[in-house]
Amino acid sequence: MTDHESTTIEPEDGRLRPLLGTLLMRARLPLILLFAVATAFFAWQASQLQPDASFEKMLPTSHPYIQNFLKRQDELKGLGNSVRIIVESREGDIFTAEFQDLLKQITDEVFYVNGVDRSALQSLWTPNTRWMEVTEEGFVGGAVIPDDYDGSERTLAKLRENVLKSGQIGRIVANDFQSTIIVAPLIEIDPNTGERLDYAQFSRDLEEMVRDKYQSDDIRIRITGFAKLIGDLIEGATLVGLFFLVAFAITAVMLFLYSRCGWLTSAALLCSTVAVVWQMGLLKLMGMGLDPYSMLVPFLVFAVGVSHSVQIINRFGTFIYFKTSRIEAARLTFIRLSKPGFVALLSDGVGFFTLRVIDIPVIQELAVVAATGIAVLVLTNLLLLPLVLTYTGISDRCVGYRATKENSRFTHWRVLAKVTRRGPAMTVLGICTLLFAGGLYYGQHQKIGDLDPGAPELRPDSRYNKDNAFLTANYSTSTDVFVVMASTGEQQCGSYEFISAVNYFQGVMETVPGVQSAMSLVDVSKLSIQGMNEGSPKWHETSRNRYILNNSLSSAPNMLRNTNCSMAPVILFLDDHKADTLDGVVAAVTEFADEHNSETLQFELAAGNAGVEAATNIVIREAQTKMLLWVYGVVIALCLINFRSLRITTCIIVPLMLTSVLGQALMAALGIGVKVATLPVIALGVGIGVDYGIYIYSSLQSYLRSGETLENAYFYALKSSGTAVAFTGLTLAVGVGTWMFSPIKFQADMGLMLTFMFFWNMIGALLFLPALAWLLSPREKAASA
Amino acid sequence: MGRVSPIVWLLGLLVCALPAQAAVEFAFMPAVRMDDPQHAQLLDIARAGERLVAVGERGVIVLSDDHGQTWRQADVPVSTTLTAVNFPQPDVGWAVGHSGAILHTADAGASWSLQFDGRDANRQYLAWAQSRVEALEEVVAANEGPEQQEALEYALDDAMFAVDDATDAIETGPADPFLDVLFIDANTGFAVGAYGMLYRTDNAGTDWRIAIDGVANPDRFHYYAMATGVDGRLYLSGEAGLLYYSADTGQSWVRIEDLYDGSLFGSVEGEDAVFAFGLRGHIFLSPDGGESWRELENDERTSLYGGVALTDGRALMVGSGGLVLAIDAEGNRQAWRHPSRASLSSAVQAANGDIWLVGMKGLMALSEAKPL
Repeated sequence: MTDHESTTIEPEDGRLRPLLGTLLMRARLPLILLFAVATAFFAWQASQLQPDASFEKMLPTSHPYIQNFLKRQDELKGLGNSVRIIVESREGDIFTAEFQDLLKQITDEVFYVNGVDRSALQSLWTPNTRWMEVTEEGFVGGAVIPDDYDGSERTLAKLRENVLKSGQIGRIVANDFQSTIIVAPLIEIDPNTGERLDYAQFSRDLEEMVRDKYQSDDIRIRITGFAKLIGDLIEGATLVGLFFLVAFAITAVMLFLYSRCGWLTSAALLCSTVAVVWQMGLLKLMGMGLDPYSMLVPFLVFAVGVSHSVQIINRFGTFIYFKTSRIEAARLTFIRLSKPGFVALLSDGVGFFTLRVIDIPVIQELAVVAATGIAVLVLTNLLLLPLVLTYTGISDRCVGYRATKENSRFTHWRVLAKVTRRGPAMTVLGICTLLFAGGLYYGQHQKIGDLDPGAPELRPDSRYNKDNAFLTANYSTSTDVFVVMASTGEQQCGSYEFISAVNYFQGVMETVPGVQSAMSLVDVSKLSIQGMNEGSPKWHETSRNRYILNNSLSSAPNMLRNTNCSMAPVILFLDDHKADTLDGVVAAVTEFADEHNSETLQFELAAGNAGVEAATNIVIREAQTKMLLWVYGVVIALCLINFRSLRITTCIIVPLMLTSVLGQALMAALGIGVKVATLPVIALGVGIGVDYGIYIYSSLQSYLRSGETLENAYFYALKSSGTAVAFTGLTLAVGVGTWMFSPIKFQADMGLMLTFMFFWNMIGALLFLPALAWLLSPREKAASA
Repeated sequence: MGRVSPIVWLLGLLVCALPAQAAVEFAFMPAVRMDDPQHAQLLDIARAGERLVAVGERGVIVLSDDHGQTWRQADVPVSTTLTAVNFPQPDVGWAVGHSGAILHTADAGASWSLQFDGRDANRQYLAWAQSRVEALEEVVAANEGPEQQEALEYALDDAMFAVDDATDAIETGPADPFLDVLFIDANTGFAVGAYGMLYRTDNAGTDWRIAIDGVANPDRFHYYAMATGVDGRLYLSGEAGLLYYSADTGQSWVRIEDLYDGSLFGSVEGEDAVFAFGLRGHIFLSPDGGESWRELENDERTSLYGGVALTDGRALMVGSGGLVLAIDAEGNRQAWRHPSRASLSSAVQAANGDIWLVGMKGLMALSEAKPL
């Protein structure tokens, strides 16, 4: 066999593919029309896709903790779907007439924002913020804003005094008196229309009506809360469209530089774009939204599409160069490439599909969506692209460029092929062994879960997280909340048996590292009994006396117990949501529950953002190994089937493993934890990475069979597919690399990791694979010995 | 060893099985170990010789042997909240708290044992009420004067009501808290608390006996504190302006009438004066051992919950919002506020002169407080 293609049908092309190829070419016009109609339909579907940030999908729904949480979700609803608007005075404290005037205006403004529960809105200017004191006659109190408030020094001093007596320091007034909070609880379902609150709209309303309007040199507005977070996420996710355009543009330039042919470039881009449109249309048909995770898939589909297109236009160009007609060239291209293309896509798709084993809906969805996208590529790139090429053809200038290229000496590949000699091979193998060792060593430090403070979905320096950090620094509050659900029989949540158990439980939990404080119905009881006894600290305790106890709980807020009084959430405020902290909390709760759970008393894990994250971490830790076993199992099986050789499979798989190991070390080094977003990255990396190995080794094998030395065989292999592999690596890396600039932290993490893995897989396939081939080749060893 | 009869086995099993089925008494479980026990909510602090001992929420007792710089947690058999601690001798002390718990230490606070709890209190109160009913019934039966008859019958009704109350209390279990403890020597001491609870021991706590007969408190208002003064005088203060002194080591108590109608949370004797303090910053001064009292001017209208005599002769009082006052016999005042604004419950002066405050946010130094 020579180093260029045969332009006639060979026996090894089989019978089915030439037949199919002929049929395709005959029906090319109706087929293209059919594709056009289908594309129009899918485009219409895709245009209806809604951004979607469902957090339920990120939960490992079958984990017992999450099941407990979902079972109790309605009862826990009161726990905190509110937005906090912090109004900060940049100069002086909040007790000035100007500041209070502005605070009053902002409070009024927030009152009218759609979605705010107006009756529960709280700020210094709402009547539900009261001061209270015990006197000889009993309780006296009033609104913190004095009745006769007129902005004078005297009434401002009165206001300050009332605030001190209100117990709101650290809650709605900062510990340093420089800022104050407007707490806006939200109504999730509009009682008039029955519609769910649109978080994106709500978030925009807040920005326009509050932040943009009132923020100035003297006043800073900060906003935190779940609804704001979701709003910021959806807003950030819309930037993904821009990233797609950037990735598209870079890919187009790269394609053109590679092919020097406008027609080929356009054809490749067109078919890959059609694949993306189909995939997004199918997403809508499958009833899914465009969540910040599945947004990754169009990028992948596009990049994989382009890299396969490169193979096809490359081959098509070659056939044209050898003076075949357009139609014949397209037919031959189809005949030659449909099999390896199909196998490669199959390995990608199956690799993605193994993500199904992870019990987290968003990852399972990602698996389905990505596998669908890959399936679509079989149609758009293996079928449609050759058809399109029959119409576009290839310009003479392109053929000319190809001719120069074809006749060049490929010095760079010559040099690279030397890696199959003893010395360079030993060097590469030595370096790779060191990298393996180093990777394994650093990989041990890989952490599970999110490592940064604040909302892990956004970057640590995002505005939301800065606002959040301000809140935790200046108020007595933590945003890492772990909820344990303490349950008992119906109407028993006010019994002394239950209350005393919860009290003891809180005492135990407060000794767990990372737990700042615990809060529940018990604290309401204690405070209320202290209040009934003239505020004496010595009465800060619950009571065994059922009348006193019932009385003390009569004013407990609804969020601290469910409606039939069989469950009370125990809220643990944590220092952070690092995996070690969460593990410690989970272990302590489990130990306590094992010892004390009975028929009438159960401590159930877990709710709250930290509780959910604890369960997710547990699932992810188990899933990581399972997923690696599956994806490597599948890839190894595919290689074995394709090559029927353990040696070749080793040559292809070991470089992938190095990439996986280095990927884990990189995560450890960059402080990226294994989490819902980064877990699938390794499977995606391996699934796509195996392509390079398959392409290169396929060529290498055929040249070896024809009797070439390893070095020559590898040089020819590089000449025929090395460029394509390098190009593929770069396209994929660019496609996902734009994600690194996403304001959404997990998208950036995914982008970074995927870029690294795609790029390093390419390096591994071009350098490590031939060195391994040298090592494992018996003939070569014998020669050098 | 001989054969054990199956019945004994069965009985043994039953005995073992029974406590497991009964509800766990969390209040009487050992106190949980904490990393920073001095930051738990602490309600009283006292000196055991040079050592400082503070008690508080969920049975926490903390000790310091370096005048308050470092603290460690003692072994405590209960996790009910402890409200007061007192050391008549450097090694010997008592702590009291909710659930009617009285704890004793003989090693300066390192380890504690439970001497008495609300179950004992409930039984004694029931016995007291029953014997009172019996005594009154005898008197009523013997008495023929019609004028006295009515008053007696009222008293009898009250006593019978107390029996009902005590019966309910036994069913409820150990509920009511002790709010203060005071020993006048290593053997004789008092524990006082909610609903007029007053128990006395004369044998270092081997027996605690109900001792409410000597004090007139028919409405069973809470007693908040008991304090000693010169020549062995004792002061007892409580809810609704209750204030008594005793010149005979607590056998009989003289009530100070009409001083004030709010709560008096405590009293403290400085040089040449005794102070009683309470709700909304009310402070009363007596120059003559409690016979006569006058109110001091105080424009800080926040409640004062605890006090201690300082070595300079002044009395230190602490209260809500982190307020600290030092007052001398002339009524001269010095005030501080702790920046945490935490409600303070008690204070102590260490052997090196440092003053420590305890309250809702644990231990704090007076040196951190800002002068007002």
